[in-house]
Amino acid sequence: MGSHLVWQMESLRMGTQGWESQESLMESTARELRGASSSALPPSVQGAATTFLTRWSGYADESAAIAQGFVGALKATANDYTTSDDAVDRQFSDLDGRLGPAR
Amino acid sequence: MTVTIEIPASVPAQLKKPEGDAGGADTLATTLYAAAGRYEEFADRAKQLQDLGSWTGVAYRSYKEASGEASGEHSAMATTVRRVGRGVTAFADTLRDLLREHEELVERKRSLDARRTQLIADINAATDPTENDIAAFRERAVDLRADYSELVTADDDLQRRVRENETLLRQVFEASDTLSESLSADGGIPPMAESAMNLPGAPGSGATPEEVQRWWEGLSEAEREAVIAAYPERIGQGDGLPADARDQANRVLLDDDLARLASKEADGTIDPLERKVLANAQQARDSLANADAYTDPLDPGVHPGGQLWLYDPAAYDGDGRVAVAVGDLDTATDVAVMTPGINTDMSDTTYYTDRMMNLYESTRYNGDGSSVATMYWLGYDAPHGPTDLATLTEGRAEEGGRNLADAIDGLRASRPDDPAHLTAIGHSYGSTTTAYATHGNDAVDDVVLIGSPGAGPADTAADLGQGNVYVGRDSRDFVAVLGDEGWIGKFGLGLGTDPSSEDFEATRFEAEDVDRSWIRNTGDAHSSYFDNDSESLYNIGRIVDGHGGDVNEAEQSYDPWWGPPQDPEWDRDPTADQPGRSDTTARR
Repeated sequence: MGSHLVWQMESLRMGTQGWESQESLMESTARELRGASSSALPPSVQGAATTFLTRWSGYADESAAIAQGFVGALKATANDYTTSDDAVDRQFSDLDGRLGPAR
Repeated sequence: MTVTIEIPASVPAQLKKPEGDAGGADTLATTLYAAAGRYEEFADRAKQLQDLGSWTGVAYRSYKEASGEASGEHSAMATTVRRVGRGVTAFADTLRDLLREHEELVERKRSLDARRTQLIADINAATDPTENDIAAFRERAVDLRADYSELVTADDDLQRRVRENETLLRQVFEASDTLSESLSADGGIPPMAESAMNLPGAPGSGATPEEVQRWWEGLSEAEREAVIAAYPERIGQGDGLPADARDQANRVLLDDDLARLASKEADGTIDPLERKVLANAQQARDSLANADAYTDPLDPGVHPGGQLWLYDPAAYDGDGRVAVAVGDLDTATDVAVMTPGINTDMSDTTYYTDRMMNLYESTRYNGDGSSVATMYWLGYDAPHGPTDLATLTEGRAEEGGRNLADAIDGLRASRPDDPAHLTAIGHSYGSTTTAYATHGNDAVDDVVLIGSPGAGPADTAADLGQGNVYVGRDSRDFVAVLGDEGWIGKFGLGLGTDPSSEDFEATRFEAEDVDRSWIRNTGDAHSSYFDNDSESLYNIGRIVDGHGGDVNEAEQSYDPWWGPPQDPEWDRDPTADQPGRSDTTARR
């Protein structure tokens, strides 16, 4: 694998790690919002607060899914590049540019 | 003969306690601030991870577009959930006030019921009352009825505000629970707040402090609570608004920063600027805690309280802007605004708030009994120290002077019918800033310059404020001898004329330190003007109290033709803790 592609792969790997961390943070956020209680608020507010918390825990789940989508896409991209590079490497390894008996 | 005395009923039958638990609401707000931090991180990370080396091409363009959309949307979500968190914080703050008021009403009713019981007992015990006795019973009954009536009115008012507080919070949640609301620019803003903020004169709209003051006067109580919760940045910096409103708004912002950034720190996602902001917020929190706990020297049962008049912890690359007052700026008879000098940033807030407590104490202890508020004001970008080139020029002082003049205008406009006796105090480079703020501007009653390297644009005291200029200079203070004096001057070493020199014609007061060194220095000699039981603090307290004519005067410095500048205070024996000269603390 050439040095340029190695560097590219490293960038993709770093990006993947970043999105994995974000996915984890948003999963925690969703859990915390789901676990948050509106019971400290007056009864006249609790309904609106509960609706808010339920919906926002759902939004956080969705954000975690978005982050996961980026993780998946970047991983797939990295795999595709690696696979493609290996295949091209094999093709070039099979080439024989020599003349005469050595060929 | 039958005599009828109408005993009023014990009303209201029940004093309904406001529902809800403020501590529990704070916990909920903390969860929301943490969520806001994660959404912010999502937005930042999506932006940051758009740069993935030299990856180019169609796939990269698709990735970049998707992550760009995610960044924008998550940034909007962060703003919305932050607003909701602030709404919950504001609700909890108001609920605490309402619960306190409810307890006071319960106590009042207990007292009225005791009076009523006693009246009934006295009437029953009177077997052969005279006309005078009967008249006295009737008078007591009438007074009692009037007091019960006042209690009913107070309770009605309390219940109305309870309902408004709950309605406001409900609207905050309802304005942010759909996806379109969450992503919109005004997600989490209740309609009442938005319409109030769109009225002419709202802060942040380019209105003058006087217009802002009138705008506030025109709002209902519910609208005021709504704008504090929804627009704390604009209310917290609104020149012309009551200090109490600014304080409430800034405390909401402070709670937001403390919770959100602590969560980011725990997540490991805090960046260097945010770390500084968190440290600044912690300083503001600790300063307020100290100010809130402080008790008046003349009456230890009285807490003058603290006010967060300005809070902008990310300003100037994290140096921050802040103003903390000890006492009530809205009602105090005597108000002092102290501007610090070089090397000051928000990390010094607790130190200077402590100095403001010293000044409050000195003013009250030696004062005429008037109420006092002393404010530390860091509303400008103070130079970083002797190695900072900005220290050698007046640029920051000039810019800071404009900010200080605005702040003073704001304070003045907030009390149009009840102007305070106002003193502007500047220390070190802050004295030059104060000189710029008061140059040709008579908004303050008195000006105090201490440890001054020069009076900036002023040639004489008459150029500043109303001409009532007082100067404190420790003879060993190296910084305070840098200003020009005499016909040669000091070749631009300082920042204008030395205000303690006789040519400047200010009133110089005693400011020597018993622990003074035998040589000039920039240490204790420059930083002890607010030390307890010092000559300087005694005199500054007298000025703040409105009695500048009573300071213990010191001879001005002078620059004779035959030699270097002379300071008559060099050889005087200083005092400490001496009544009438340097005693500034109550024994308690």
